[in-house]
Amino acid sequence: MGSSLRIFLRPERCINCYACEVACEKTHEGMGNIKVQGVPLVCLHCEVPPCITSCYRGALEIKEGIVVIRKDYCTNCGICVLSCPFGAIMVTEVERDGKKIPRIHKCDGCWERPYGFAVCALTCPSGAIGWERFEDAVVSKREKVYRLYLRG
Amino acid sequence: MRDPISSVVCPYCGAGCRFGLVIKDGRARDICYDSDHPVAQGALCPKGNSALDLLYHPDRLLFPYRRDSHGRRHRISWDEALKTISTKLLQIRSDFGPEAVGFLASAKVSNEENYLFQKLARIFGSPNIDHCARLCHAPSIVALSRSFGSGAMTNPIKDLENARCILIIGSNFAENHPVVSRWVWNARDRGAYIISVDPRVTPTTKMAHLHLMIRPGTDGLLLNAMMAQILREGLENRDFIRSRTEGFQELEPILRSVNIEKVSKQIGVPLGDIITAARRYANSSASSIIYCMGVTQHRSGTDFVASCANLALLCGHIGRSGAGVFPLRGQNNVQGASDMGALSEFLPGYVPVGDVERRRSIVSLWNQKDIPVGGLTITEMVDEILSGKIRALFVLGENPLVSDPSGAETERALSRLDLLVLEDIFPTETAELAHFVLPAAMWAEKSGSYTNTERRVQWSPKVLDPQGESKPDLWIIGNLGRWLGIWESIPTPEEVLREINKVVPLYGGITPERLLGRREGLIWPCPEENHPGSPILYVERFNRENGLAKFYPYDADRDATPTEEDTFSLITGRVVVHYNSGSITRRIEALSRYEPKLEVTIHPKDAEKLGIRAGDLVTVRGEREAVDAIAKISSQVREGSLFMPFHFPEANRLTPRDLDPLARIPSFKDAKCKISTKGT
Repeated sequence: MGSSLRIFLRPERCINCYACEVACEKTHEGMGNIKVQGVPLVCLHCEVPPCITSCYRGALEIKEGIVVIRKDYCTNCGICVLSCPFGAIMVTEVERDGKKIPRIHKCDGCWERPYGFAVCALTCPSGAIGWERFEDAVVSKREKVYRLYLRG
Repeated sequence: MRDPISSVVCPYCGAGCRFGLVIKDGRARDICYDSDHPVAQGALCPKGNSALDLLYHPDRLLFPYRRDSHGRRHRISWDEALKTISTKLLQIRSDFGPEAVGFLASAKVSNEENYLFQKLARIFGSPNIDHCARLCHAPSIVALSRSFGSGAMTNPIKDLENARCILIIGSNFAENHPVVSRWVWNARDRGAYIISVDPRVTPTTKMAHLHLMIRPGTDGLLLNAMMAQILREGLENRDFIRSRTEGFQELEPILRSVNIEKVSKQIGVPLGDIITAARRYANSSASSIIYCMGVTQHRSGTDFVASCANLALLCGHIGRSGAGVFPLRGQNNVQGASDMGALSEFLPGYVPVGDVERRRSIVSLWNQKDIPVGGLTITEMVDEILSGKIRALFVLGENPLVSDPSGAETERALSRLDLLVLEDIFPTETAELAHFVLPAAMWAEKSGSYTNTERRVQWSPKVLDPQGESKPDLWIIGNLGRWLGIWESIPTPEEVLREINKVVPLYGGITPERLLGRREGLIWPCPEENHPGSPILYVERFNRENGLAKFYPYDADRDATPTEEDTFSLITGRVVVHYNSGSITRRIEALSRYEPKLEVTIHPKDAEKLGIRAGDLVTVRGEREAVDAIAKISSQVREGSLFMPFHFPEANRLTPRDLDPLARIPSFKDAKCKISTKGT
């Protein structure tokens, strides 16, 4: 995956089909990192991520443009969950030693997986989640505006 | 990373997406997304994504079994099963005649299997062969064949992005064919104007610039009003009408007499919206119509489809890139099953059974002199079971108990049969009534070709071994034919496809060799070996004998019926996470958790009037039966109408058995109901 390719949302296109949720869960052992609530909500891998700024243990880092959790540092305290403006950091209760404990997890860009890109973007039927270089994305936005202008 | 050998066609809807199966040690471990695919570009809806849960589901049927009169199951061997079934079938044939046996083919099995199945039924001597296309797009086959000469989609799905205006009528493709929405969105981003006609608010209507929320069942009135407005403003394409069509003089006076103001009140949509829709559709350089079950499943289904065709012809929006008529088909091979003649009135290649000469030339290839004609459709077979004329039914992968109208009637009929044989992958509701249940292999466990909604024929190879003792349908049908003494050997899928090449001219050049080599498949008509396929139909001429399209007049005003005050129009439909009778998707946790139970949607004002609160258990009373459901209160439906997904056994208990006179489709969308809180 090229480092300048970014997950790119076109939320107006979302048809609420949950394909991304199902695909993400199947890829991440049942711990889905994307939620559909009228629009798909997933980590956008910000350049200055509030989750990283807020984490007192330094348990989040940027690896090749992808914000990832360092599992052995994470205390599951949940500050990152509160700090994320998109609600893109997930909390799931898991069982450990017979007790239910919260577990923090988030999008890893499927960076270790052999699909070529994040499965949510690959699978999205309507094109609400895609991937593009920022430079290309702005060009296509301009083209869209021009076409709308032509139509009047 | 992409391994062409493991690329299979998705087993769900008619869009025809492909995906890769990653296979390790004989087991599919993961799904790969095929970014080069011409329809899906790698996308998959939630159903496609959960395909592995389907393959390895613990409920799968793995052994043939017989049910005794107490309902107990007895595992039997394949030989015993086929021997007993064939003996019983032959007995029934000699006692009551061959027409006492009905055959239901399947829109979920390959072209080869459907072809062989209808051949078996017809050589056996029964004209009663039909499949569930009867329940979805039979009116499209009838109406589009007589208007254009061919009953299929005119342009490929991808071509939607070239449209400048898209009229969506009675289709909720965002839930039923999710990948279609990417092409409609592309069109919209390129500046196309999207009009949606639907009595409900759906994810599809949210795509539209203009949503006409008509009263259920008034599609014909709206289409005629739009055409009337187009004529009134002189926006019709006179050149096209003159040079490429006939019969306009019969339609014109009907349209001239339409009172648009009155129609606006009848259908419950502002006059201005009708006029805008008419102008936008007529004025754009390339307009397309997408329609689906909302148009076809009515008493006047054939007329409604004819009106869609009339509208396209009136403006000349057909036969060009971006301009076409798109009936979206619901199952991965419903187009193919129809092409293969698994319908009572058509032989393979849409040869009408009544056409003596062509019929004889086809059956001579089967070494037969002639075959019986005048077969019954699915719903008619149910009637004839009740009247005692049909004694045995062989069902290939269908679940009529849930998918057919008036469930109680269907149940009564199926339990009366002397012999009910079901071939399926899961123990469905219908299996509870079957005398013999035969386990079929799943799509990835057998080879064959599938034809998607845009007429694209794709090969799906066998990439896994069948589980348990389950067998490919071709093996089962082939073997049954042997036991019945119809043929001697079981053909391979390739051999059957070669026979199809000879029998069906549309598939003439779609040979196994060509298909195996191209993942994107071939689009029929493809008459010869070197023909590239025909993505866009009717570019120069229509498929009717004289090359012209024909207008079929329809006076919609004649059929307009006022509804009673306290009855509701029940709309049945689909939701994104479920598939048809739900026998597959209700079992898959990853999907069913989104819609675990049957809900009925009611408008807030109606709910308030009747004292129904969200989450209440309510009773919905149809003409014959009453069922319970959970109330969901939402203005996604109009006042006076209800919505229920038919993926649950209850919904079709309420639908009526009235048929469209031409296509003989039941009027699923015309149900009338009453609703109240349970217990009151």
